[in-house]
Amino acid sequence: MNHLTMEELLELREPGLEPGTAAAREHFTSCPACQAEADRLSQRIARLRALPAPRPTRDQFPLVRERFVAERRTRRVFMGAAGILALAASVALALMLRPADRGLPVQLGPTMIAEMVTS
Amino acid sequence: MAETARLAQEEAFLPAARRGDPAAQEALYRAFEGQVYGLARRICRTREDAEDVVQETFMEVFRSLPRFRGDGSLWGWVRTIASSKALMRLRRNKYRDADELMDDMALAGRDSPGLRMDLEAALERLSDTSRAVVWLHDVEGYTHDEIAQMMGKTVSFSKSQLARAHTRLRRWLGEEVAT
Repeated sequence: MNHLTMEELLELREPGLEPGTAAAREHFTSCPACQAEADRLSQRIARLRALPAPRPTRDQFPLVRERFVAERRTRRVFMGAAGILALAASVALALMLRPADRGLPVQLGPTMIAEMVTS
Repeated sequence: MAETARLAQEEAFLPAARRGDPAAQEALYRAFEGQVYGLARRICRTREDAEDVVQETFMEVFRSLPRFRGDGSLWGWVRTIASSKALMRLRRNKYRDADELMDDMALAGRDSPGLRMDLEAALERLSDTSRAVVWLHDVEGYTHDEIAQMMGKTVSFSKSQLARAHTRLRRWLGEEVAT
């Protein structure tokens, strides 16, 4: 069997055994060259993990906070406007569908309204 | 011990941050700012892009915090948002991968065992996609499934990008051994 490819070497590091990995594993246990390659791979990954973390060069919190507040304000205005529109639409719908032709009084006088409220 | 202290600190500022309290939001920002920037800077090519990713990440974090159920760690949740934002930024700047490819072809003749780079430079030289996969898999510990999902690609794509990246890194770092 040829030496393991990089993909096969990486596969051997993954948890669980993929189909087809058994043959690669068998070769690996008896091949010093592939073991050395796997060691170099592990070292490279360890070095990647040890690279110094880049640090932010400027404080962006004030900007983020400002954007967040502005966005929340806009959302509230939008929700308020949407609420008013929804209310207006329901009133309009109710007026359009009112039972004017079912023999109910078309106009309510002040006395009738007072009676309705007290009852 | 440090993890316990951090969890206690998170517990302390989370409820107020959920309500949009500025001091609590700032505490949350300060707790993860460095890690988010570090991750974004490793995936994105420029400092400006990384700074944009930090902004977008924390906007999303503050927006979505009321929906954070606390099933996993807070950092795990923030990190996933940051990774997605960074990958989104890469997709937006897709043209850079093409530049890299041309650059690779131009330098192909110069790839010799004698030409060694340091790891930082070699990582920078990888294509955006390969670099992102290397970083997310080897450093951040994401699985190929998770990377594939975040990138909108297949698991095989993630695996082949990682293998390709390591083959290049090995060559550029002068680690190839004649067998």
